[in-house]
Amino acid sequence: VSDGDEVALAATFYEEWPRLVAAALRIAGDLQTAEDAAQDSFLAALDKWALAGVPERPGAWLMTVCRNRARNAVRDAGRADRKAQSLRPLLAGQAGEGALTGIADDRLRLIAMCCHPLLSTNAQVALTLRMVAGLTTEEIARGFHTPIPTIAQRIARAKRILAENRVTFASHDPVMHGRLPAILDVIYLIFNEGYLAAAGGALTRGDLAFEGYRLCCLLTQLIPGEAAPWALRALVCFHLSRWNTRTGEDGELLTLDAQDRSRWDRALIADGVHALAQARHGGRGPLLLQAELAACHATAPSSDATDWAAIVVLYDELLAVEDSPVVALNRAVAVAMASGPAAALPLLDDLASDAALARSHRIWAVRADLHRRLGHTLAALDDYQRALDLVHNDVERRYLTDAGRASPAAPDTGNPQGRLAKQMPHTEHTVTIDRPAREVFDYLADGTHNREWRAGVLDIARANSTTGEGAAYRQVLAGPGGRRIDGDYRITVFDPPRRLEFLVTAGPARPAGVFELTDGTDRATVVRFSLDLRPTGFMKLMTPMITRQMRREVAQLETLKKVLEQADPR
Amino acid sequence: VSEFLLLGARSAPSPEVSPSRAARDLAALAAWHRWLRRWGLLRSYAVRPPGLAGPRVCLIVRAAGPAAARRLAAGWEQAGGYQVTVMELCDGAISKGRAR
Repeated sequence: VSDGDEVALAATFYEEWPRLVAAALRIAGDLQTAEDAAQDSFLAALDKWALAGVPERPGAWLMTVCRNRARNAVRDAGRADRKAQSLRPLLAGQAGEGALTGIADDRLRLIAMCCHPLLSTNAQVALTLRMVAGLTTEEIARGFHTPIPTIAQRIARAKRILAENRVTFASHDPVMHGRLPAILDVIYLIFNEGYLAAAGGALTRGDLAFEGYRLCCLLTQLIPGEAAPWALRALVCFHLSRWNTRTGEDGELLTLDAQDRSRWDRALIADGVHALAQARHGGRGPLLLQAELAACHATAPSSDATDWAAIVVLYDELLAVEDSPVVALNRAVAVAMASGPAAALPLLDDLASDAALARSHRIWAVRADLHRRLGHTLAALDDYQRALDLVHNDVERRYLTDAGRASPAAPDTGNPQGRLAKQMPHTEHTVTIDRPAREVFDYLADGTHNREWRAGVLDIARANSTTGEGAAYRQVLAGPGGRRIDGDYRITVFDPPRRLEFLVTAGPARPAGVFELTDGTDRATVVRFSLDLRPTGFMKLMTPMITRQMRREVAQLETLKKVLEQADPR
Repeated sequence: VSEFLLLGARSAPSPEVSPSRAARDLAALAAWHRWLRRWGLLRSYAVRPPGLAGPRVCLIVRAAGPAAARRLAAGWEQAGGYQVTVMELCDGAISKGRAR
């Protein structure tokens, strides 16, 4: 065995694993023994091949060891009689009586067994990865960011359920066609989990995504006459072809238009095109339409050359067979690309009322982008913040944070670990007031003026006789539904005429505020008003609402400008 | 230079090995054995037929002393995932008991 043989060996092991499990399952009748036998044949190969070299027919060698191991296990357990009993249908099946005519290959039978309807989807996924793909419990746990014991229990429970319900390898199951949608769902889930990790630091988890591809290939190899597995294979190929270009050098998310298409995997695209051609022999189901959509992107020579009109038509067709909010959201994106953001915005506004979609960051991220392109910067920021509140993937979070910062009205905090990234509510607004800094500062420092320029201040009065730093105000604000809420505050920094800071000391939300004054041209003053809040406990749940309120608050600087400039026009 | 018997066993139950991991481990283990041979340290070996209990592989190696043999054992443990027992062979035991 040379180092260069490692890839070929891995391919052999991948190819053989489900065959070994299936063969042992035929003999032993239960998944646990079958798994142990397959496992032991791998270990025996490690022991022997490392010293004596790889045999001429490695698959046959492994199969012999595995079968012997399974037979020994049955014999050692002293269960020969009982096994013979349970094997009766299997043996009858082999003879052609009661055989599953729809399931021609042991490996396919194995996949169908792992996707048995008695099992939950999670269990189906875990069992398929262990029994068909050969991934270890630890690898599966790592792939799904789940503790190893949880996955181990999931697999053990799945085996137990199958055993308790006497789901034998050759039970009188419905034919393959009945189980195929569940199998495709499981494989797609595995792929998706790897391709766009739902949570965690990395956007992509190669092992799972490529396992999904491998399983697709296995399925199309086993049932080449079925169109749906070809469609899934095409879809997976087109997505995987972009694997190396989806993130930049620093791990940041790159959207389709920013990806280097010369680095897309041409072999996978070719495989996808071939698979798509095979899939077109079947009906135009959701998988085929999704594959067609992916092909539009994968085969476009450049981002600008993408046929968005054709994509919209495909989404219309997809909506007709699978009317889901997610498809509608994707269609809205295509409409925005084909006809401009203004055409898509009303579609998104309608979709935002869908409860499930509203809990996903994607709709807000898309809407924020449309607002940004239309120049609605405050609305864009608001939606970026909503998306940030909901996103779980760190890479996507970073993308949204950067996108939010890139909006024209977004504040540049100058801090790479900025407030948006931390989801600590921060808002700010800047105006240029045609008055000298000293005058603006004095006006702001006297809190009793607040009612003149801040809407929602119902009442305000001095709470102590201190002036400058330490001055305190008792303030009553209009809360939701006209409720009166406290908004007392205290001056914490008094640095005339440049900086005034305060801290809200009473009320449900207690942000800290800063007024920064710098000289503009011609005796004008640039005023920047920022509010920061570190929500705790229950208030964290209210962050989006508080952020919106804070944004409205700082925007009132515009009223301050009007009030001061109208008071003494120059 | 003395000769030592290294007995490699695997923990029970056996650790899970995935296809990719098996290929990687096999390549690493084969490379380690090649290294032993290149330096003339591997005198002979035997592999237990699958299914039998006990140590899975035994190696007879040459080493300068017990400490060197233990270092070889540690290398083998690392490369192959075995639990290795080291025994020094008495004079004459090799010529009679050589496996290959």
